[in-house]
Amino acid sequence: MASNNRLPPPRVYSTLDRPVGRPDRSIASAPKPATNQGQSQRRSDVYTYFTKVGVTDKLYDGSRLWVRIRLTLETAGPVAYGLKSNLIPVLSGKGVLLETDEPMEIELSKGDVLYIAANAVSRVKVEITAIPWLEQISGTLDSLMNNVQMMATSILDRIAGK
Amino acid sequence: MAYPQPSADQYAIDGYKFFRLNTLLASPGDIYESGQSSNGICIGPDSDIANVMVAYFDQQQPNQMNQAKISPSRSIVGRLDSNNDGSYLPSGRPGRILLWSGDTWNPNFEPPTVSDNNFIILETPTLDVIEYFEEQPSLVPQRNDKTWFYQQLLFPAAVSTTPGSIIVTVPYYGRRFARINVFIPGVFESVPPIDVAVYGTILNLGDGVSNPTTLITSLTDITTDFDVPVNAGTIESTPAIDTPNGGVFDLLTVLVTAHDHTNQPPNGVLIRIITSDTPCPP
Repeated sequence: MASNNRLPPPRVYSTLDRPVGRPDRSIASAPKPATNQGQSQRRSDVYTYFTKVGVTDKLYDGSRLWVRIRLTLETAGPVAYGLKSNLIPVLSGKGVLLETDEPMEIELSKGDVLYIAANAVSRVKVEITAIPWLEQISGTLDSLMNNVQMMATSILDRIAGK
Repeated sequence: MAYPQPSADQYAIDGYKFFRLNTLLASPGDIYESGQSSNGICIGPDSDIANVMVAYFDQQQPNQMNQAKISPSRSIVGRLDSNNDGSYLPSGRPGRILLWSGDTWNPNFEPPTVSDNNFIILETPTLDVIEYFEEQPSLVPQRNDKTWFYQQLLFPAAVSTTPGSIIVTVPYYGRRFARINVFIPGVFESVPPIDVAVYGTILNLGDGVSNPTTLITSLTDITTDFDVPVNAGTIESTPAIDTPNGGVFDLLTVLVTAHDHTNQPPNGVLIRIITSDTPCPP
């Protein structure tokens, strides 16, 4: 009696009805669509920041996945920005000095906190924009890895007769 | 000095591209400050003071302060840090850019007089400085010509045989040219004669008790009577003061005296003084 040894057709695992897993925190994953307005991690932000004198202040908390931050100093400064939590003295080189009316851009991944320091009250234009294509690639890779892992698990299960 | 002085920080917060300090001097010791760093400092267009001292933080100097003088012919271009989180030694005051007049001013200046029967006007000089927040390729701060206009100045009543005098003193710091008009308004059969004299004064620091030493120079020969035409309703006398003939002074004084104590111009005089940085045209 011939037995049917054909493997079942592969199932397509949809990501719409299951939460996207993050088995490895070091791999960025695409966020869920926002259910409330203003909560998406892809949201951009534009504002003018007024520096405090003699203190290092946190400008960006590193909460987003991938962002591009553009800073433009509108007054004479001097203003320094960097990734260290203490940039004082401003002219010490711990941070990077902003030049008046010259935009400076930096791309940060999740967890990178941006700090700013000045020794005079200064106006700084801040533009924070998510990098959607980088998030999309990261999320797609993550989903692909999840699917491959699940398919491999399913195959092994069937081989083992579970 | 206006108290409190304008805040440079508020200019920056409000999005201005510069901080302008435009104020009358109250005393020769007025010192102003800016908490904002600068990319260029120059004399403002309405300044009577021609020389302004600028002090800024420089840790390589003995008192951690360096100074420079700006004038209509020389500005500072480049970044000067206000260094608010530093402090000047030995006072420990927080870092600022400091500004003060480099020209001497005496609010108690007594002009030269010919009698004790005078109506005196002493104009307070204006300090006008602009501090730019943005980079400037160059700064050529030319001052505006300044006009001092007095529509009607009445002579004090004659005392005994002493006629009344009108004395107007205006700032002349760094100016190269002045034109003075004196009008006698009214219609007369015989125009009352007047004497006009013009003086230049260089102020020096005195001992704080007496008046500063003054240099009295008659810039023109107009110390004698004016011969006024009879048929004119208004009479104009226009001496021109220029650097080659008169020199450079801190203050310019115009003294108008009724020549005859019994026949003083009843409607007073109109005086107009125009000062300029531009030398007198040939």
